[in-house]
Amino acid sequence: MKISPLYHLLAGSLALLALSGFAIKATATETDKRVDSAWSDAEISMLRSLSLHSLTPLQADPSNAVADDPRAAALGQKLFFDPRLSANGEVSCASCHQPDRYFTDGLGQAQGIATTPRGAPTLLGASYYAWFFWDGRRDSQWAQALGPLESGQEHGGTRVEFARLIVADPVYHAEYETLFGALPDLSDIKRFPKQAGPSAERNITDAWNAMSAGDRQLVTRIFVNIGKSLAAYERLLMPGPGRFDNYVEALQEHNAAAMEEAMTANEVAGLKLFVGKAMCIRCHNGPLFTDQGFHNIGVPFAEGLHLDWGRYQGVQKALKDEFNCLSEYSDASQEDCTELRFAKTLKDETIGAFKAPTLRNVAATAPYMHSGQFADLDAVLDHYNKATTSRKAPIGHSDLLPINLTAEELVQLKAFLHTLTGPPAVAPYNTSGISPTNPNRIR
Amino acid sequence: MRNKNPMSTGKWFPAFFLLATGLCLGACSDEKSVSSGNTPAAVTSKPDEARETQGTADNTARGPSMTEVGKNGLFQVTIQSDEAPLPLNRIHSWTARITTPEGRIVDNAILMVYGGMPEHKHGFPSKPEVTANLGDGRYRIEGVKFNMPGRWEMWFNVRALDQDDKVIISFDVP
Repeated sequence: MKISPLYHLLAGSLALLALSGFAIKATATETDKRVDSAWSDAEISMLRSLSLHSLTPLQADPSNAVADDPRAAALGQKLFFDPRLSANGEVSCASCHQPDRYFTDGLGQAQGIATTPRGAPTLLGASYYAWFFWDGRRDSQWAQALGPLESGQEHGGTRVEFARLIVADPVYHAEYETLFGALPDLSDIKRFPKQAGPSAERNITDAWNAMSAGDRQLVTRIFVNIGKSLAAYERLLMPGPGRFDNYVEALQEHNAAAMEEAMTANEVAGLKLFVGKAMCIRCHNGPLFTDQGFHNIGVPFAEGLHLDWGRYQGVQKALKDEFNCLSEYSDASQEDCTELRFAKTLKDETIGAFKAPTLRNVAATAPYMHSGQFADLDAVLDHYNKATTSRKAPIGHSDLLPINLTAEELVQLKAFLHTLTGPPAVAPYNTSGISPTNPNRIR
Repeated sequence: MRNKNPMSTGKWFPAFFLLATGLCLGACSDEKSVSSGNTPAAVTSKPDEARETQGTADNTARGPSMTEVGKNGLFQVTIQSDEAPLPLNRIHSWTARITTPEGRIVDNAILMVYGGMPEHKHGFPSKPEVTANLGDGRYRIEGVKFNMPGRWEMWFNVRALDQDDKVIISFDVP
C-alpha cells in the first residue's frame, strides 16, 4: 500500500494550492509529478503489457482454411444461434454462450440437454488460446465447437443429423457449397441412418459403425466444416476495453485527470496488489489476463462431481483426438502443430490443472472456476488468500503460494477486478436467416 | 541421467528434471565427436546458419547469443532464439551450439533441455525437445514457450566423450 498515503498527501497539497489561488501551471506540474510517482518504470511497462491496446492481431489458424473468411463467419454466426442444432430443438451455442452475458451463462455447470460437469467459459478473446475446454482436450477452436454438438449433455445431436441439416436447409446448403464445394446426397436412409455418430448411446454408435468408412468420412467432413465455420465467427468475438485500459492509456499520456476518471484510488491500490503482493500476474498476464497455461490451484471438487484429473487427462485426449492439428481433418502441416507436438504431458505438472481463464469481464461472469465452485469474487479471493506452503490440493499439488492479504486489500483487489469489464468489441447480433421457431429441427 | 542430476539443489528442481527430454544423436563415446582443430568461426557451412558464428554474430533477425560453461567445466553451450524479441505465449525454436570451453566443436552429443522460472518454481508450459543435430556442434531445440515475462532459465544436460556436464543459461523474457 505505497500509493495511498502519497496519493492523499499530494491530493491534499493540490487542494490547498488550488484554494490559495496558485497559478494553474504550478498545479499541472505537481499533478504530473504525482502521476509518475505512483508507478515505477518497470510497473508502467507491466501495465502496458496488460492493456488491451497491447493485444497483438490474431494469428492465422493454419488448421482452419476458412478461419478468416467472412463468408464462413457469416455461416458460422447463423449456426451459432440456431437451436435446430440440437436433439430437442432448443439448444444452440448461444444457449450457454449468451452475448448478453459476455458469452457465458451465469451457471457453474452449463445446462444443455442435461447438466454438464463444467462451466461455459466466455468466448471473448478465446481465439487466442492454443488449447480449448478447461482441460485443453482439443487444440483448435473448430475442433472445440464440435464437442458440445455431439455431447449428450449439451446439444445431444449426431453427426449425420447435423450434416443432413446443412444439406436440407437452403440457406446453409448454398453458403456451405460456396465455401466448401458440392454437398453429397444424404437422402438414402440405409446408407445414412437418421441418427448416427460417435455417441455415449450404443445404438447411435452402432449405426455409425455400420456405415461404410467412405460414408462416415463424407458426413464427418461436413461436420468438421460446421466447426470451422463456427470458429470463423467466434474469431470475431473480442473483449472491449474496460476502465483499466483507459487508466493505462491515461497513465502513458501523464493525464492525471483521465486517470482519476478511469479508476478510483481503491481500484488502483487493487491493481498494485494484482501485479505485486497478490501475485495474480503470475498466471493472469498479457492483455487477456491469462497465460493460457494449465495450473492446479487446489480448487475443491464441485458438489456431487467425481475426481477431475484436469489437464492430465485433457492432454492425453488431445493427443489422440480425431480432430487434432495432425489429423486428416486439419488443414495444418506438421510444422504448424507445435503446440500439440510439444505438449507437456508430465503427470506431476498436469494433474488437477485447469486452464487459467481470461479475467476480462470477470466481475460480470460469475460463478467461477471450472465447475462454478465459487459463487462470487469474494469466495475466489478467499480461496487464494487461504493458500499455505503445504501446497495441499484435492488432487496433485497446488501451485499457489501464500499471499496473506488483509481484509482491506481483498476489498481493493476485488475493486480492481471490476475495472476489467467492457462491452464486447464486435456486435454479435446479426442473426438474419434463422429463426428460433424454425420448425426444421434435426429431429 | 534423469535420476542423478547434480544440479538438483533448488527446491523446485525435482519437477524440472522429470521434464527433461533429449535425443541421442550419434555414437556418444566416439572420440571423433570432438573435432579437434576446428574453431567455431571456421565450421559454418550453410549460408542461413552463418550468422550463428560465435563472436561475429549478426543478431538482427534473431535473439542474442548467450553462452555459459558447464558446472564441470567440460562443455560450453551457446544458445540463440530464432526470434527477437523473445515471444510470449507462442512456441518457437532455438539453436544450441556445443563446444569445449576452448572452442572445439562437440558433435554427436546427447543433449537434453529443460528449464523454467526458478523464482516462480515452475517449468516450461510446453515440453521443449532437441529435435535435430544440425552438424558442426549445433542442435535444434523446438517447442520452447514462455508464458510470462521475467527471468527464465534453460538447463542442458550434455553427454559426450563419456563425460557429463550441466549448463544453466539465464535470461529475461520481456
